[in-house]
Amino acid sequence: MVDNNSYMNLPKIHSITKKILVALLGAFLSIFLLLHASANLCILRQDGGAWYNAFCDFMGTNYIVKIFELVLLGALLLHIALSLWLAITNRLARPKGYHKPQRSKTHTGSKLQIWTGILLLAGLIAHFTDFYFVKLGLVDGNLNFYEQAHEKFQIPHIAICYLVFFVVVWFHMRHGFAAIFQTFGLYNYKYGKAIEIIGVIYATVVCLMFTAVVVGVYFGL
Amino acid sequence: MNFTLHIWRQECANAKGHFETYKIENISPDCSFLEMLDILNEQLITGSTPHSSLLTPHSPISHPVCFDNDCREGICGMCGLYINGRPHGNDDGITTCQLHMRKFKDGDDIWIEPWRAKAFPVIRDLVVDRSAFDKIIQAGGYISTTTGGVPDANTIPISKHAADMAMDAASCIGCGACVAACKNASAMLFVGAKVSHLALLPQGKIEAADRVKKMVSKMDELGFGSCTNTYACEAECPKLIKRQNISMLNRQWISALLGRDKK
Amino acid sequence: MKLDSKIPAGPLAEKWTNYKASQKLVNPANKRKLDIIVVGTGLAGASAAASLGAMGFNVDIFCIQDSPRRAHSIAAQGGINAAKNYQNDGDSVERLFRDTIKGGDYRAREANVYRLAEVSGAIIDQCVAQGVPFARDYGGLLDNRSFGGAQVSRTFYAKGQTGQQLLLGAYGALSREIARGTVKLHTRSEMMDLVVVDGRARGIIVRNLVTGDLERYAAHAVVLATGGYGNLYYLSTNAMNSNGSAAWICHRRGAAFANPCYVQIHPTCIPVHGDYQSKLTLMSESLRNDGRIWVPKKKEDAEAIRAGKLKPTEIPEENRDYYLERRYPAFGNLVPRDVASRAAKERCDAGYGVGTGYAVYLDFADAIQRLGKDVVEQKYGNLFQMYQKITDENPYETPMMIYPAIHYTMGGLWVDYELQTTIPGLFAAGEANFSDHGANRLGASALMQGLADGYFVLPYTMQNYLADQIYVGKISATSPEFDAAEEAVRQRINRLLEIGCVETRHGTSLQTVDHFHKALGKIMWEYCGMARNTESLTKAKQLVKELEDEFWKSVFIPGSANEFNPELEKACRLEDYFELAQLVIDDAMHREESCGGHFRTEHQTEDGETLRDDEHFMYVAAWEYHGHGQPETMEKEPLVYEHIKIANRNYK
Repeated sequence: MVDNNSYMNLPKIHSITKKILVALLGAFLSIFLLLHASANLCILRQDGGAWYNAFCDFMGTNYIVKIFELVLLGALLLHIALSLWLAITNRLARPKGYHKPQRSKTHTGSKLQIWTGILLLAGLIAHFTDFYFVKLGLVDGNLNFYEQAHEKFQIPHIAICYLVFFVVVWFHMRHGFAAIFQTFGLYNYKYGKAIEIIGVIYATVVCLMFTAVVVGVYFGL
Repeated sequence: MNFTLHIWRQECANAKGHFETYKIENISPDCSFLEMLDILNEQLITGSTPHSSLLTPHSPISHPVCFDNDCREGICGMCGLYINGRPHGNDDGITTCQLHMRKFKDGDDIWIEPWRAKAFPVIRDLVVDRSAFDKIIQAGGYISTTTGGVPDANTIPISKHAADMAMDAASCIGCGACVAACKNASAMLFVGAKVSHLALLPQGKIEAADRVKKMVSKMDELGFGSCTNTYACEAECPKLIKRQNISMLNRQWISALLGRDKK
Repeated sequence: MKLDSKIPAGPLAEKWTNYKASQKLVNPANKRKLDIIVVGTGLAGASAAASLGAMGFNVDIFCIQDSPRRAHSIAAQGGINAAKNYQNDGDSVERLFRDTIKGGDYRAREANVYRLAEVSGAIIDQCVAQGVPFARDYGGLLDNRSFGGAQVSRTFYAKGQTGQQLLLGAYGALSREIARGTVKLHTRSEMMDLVVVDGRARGIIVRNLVTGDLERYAAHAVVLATGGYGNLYYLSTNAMNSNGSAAWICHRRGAAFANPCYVQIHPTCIPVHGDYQSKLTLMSESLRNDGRIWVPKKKEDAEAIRAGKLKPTEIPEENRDYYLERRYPAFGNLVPRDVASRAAKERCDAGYGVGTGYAVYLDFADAIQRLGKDVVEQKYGNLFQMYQKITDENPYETPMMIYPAIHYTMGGLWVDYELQTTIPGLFAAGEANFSDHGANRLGASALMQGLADGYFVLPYTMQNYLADQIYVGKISATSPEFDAAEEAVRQRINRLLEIGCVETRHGTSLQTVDHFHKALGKIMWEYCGMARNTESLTKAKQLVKELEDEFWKSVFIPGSANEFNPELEKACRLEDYFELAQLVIDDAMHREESCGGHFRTEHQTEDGETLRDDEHFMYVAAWEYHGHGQPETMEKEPLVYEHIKIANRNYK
């Protein structure tokens, strides 16, 4: 059949492909979060920040890491952009909504995903302002992240904000983890339940690691 | 039993539409939901609706409420109403015609809306145009055979397991509840059910890659949303078709993308 | 009118082969110059359109629903017969043929039935190739089960949804042709008239059900695959929109209507529970394997149950009347459909009915005790669940209530061996024709017939007709015949819409279409249903006439012709039902014998069984229309049994 719009022959990205990309990037970011959380645990070492600052030094100076940083940033932005794109097309698929709110038994995580995502973005910007942008020199702050962390996390409202942030991360990851398998077509009758449980465990472990640092620093451990 | 019905009335595709309120009385709990609407229509036509003062003056009161229905035993897929926030109403694994009034409480307010989706425009009142589903199937939801010239039915054995799984997927009745329930008005469960039904069978494997590409392209083109793994479709499917079929669709899609390319 | 059944010469087993070898064909280049209209998208219509489209003809296909997949073939539960002999239990084409003829009480045409049995195997091959997920055994080969009227296991099935899966297979094939452009699909379109030009069917007038527009379609041939007229009885197992109008319209235009009185009544349906009821749900025949049917022995017990004072489980064994086991000790609860239905009616009429008075018990207590609840659940779980959803009663604890209901119509448009009606160029397939089931249809044979007609008969026989049509050129839809037909439809619709307008809306006498349909159904069920006699039929005729007069005075159809208007659709169909009802009654009146689904109380054996009169009634009654209110005339097509030995049906 002849495509009438062949003159605007942009490469078409199908909805499922977009989903797969979002899932792929999500998986990548989830793994990064685990690394990030693990590295953070160094803060809890009673060594005046020796290990942690050494790690930050390495992250801040190694060129391979710098490239990786760009990749990571790109992945994050693409993850956000594709998700928003999907969210918008999904809204357009139902121009007129229902009067009665939906009462089907569903996975709430999914409905919240775009909102937790947006919350995360906001939280992330705040987090970047505290740390990453300081490193880039975009905002003023203490370049010694060990000290910076101690400064920030001991302010009660900031610590609480971070804890709330981690709860949001948990929700986003818990749904995201199982959804990744579903989107990759790996969710089946045999392992479906297991995947969901592992997803909860993964999200919980990562978030607990982050939480441990904030709580630990707050209580001066 | 007595009920207050709030029904979406829309004279034609381009009309604006609004909710209309009706009172209906003395309904037997054994009455099915559609039979209850039949009674309402009977009263609307003969002008004997109780509490007609509730009717707003601009409405064409004599015109009965239009709703699609046919077999009334849950297999044709023609009926489909969004009742109090759930496609096919407040029960699992049934179509609207299998919903009975005993599932409601006496005096309940019942909100009845048509399926809402860009791809399912309203024709009149509660009737929507679901020809988009036919178009998706026409895009490739079949095995290309012509009549005659096929091998004997037992030439290719098919494992009982695969046949049973294919049967479960194939039991889709095309009612559209999955689209109606989905917050994204996505047709992934419908497409997934057909793709897995055919991909599970050796006869259907031959065209599997081509099929999934064509059906998904058509689905996107017709304005359905994408899947965000909410699984409202699974919760509302009258034939209890599982989300695993969506997973299967994704898998088929990936292997079609990565698979051998055509010139 | 002359009936020529065009049965090919030669021995029965070679007729179809000989026919195919000598018939005329249309060459591939010419096929695309020929247009065919197919009305109906059920098994017969969808399979015919798909096959004809694939061959290269231009096909237009029409259905009243929003999608071809809604056709009522989808509701068939049990299975499809085929003489594959996969079970090695002695099945053969010959045996399937004989079972079908006998099941039809020797009132079907030998040659057609033999052909049906002959192509049955190819249907299964075709369906498997289309991806129909038939049940399989652990070795991966196709599984079979047995059905009524057969001593072999030849029924292929896909859970309890065989009809659905077969229809989806045909719908897939149809969708493919639509995508290829050989078939054009017209949904929500109702055939309103047949256009006959120079004695040949040349097109149809269609009402677009969304806009109300009348549209014309011209073609070289028209195939009618619009199902049966069971909804004449209002309450039936048919879908709400199933109707007999398309066939009746063709009858008005000159096609003979055969054996209208042969109506099948299914014994195990969920009973009527109120006036508002719109539909009866079938419970599979298989339940009678383990369920025992009974009513109370004492009238006062039955009354107490009806009044809600007594529970069935409280009635002791000795006060129960297992009437089927009592009357038919050899077959017990497994007597054929017609016998079981009549026995239930007899008990209820005598005042022993339960529930509303029109129901009998189907009790699984024995089976549960004998086999255990788990086994019963495995076998019938989905049916029990369906029953519970509808009735809110638990059949594991209290017996099910069942009652017979109209299920299928064996009668239909008269067709010859080529499935062509008495109007050249008009073909009828599936339940819409009369050809294969005689006076009673066996379980799992309807699906077989629909697909046989569509896949393997029409694609051949239609070519024989179309071969010389290549000289005719494109058929014009602007001829005076089309003008006249369209005008007639418009007038007919206006006439209906005018009825209620003369009175004010709040006048007392206005009634809905459904009101009249229900009344008509009641008359037909009461006086021309499971048991008929001269007296009841005379009364039915009178009552139908009166009701029709009342209809023309006080039916009110809201809305206009130019909009989506379901009430108007129903009114048009009901108008046809009034005429059809008269013919069913006339046919039942004239057939002074009992056979299959047609039971005349005057003609029964001492034990209340059907009593055939082969000497006088071994023929097909084909009726010809002569105008509204005019008596129809009947032409006989004698049934000649060259191959089969005629016997009595005995189930004692």
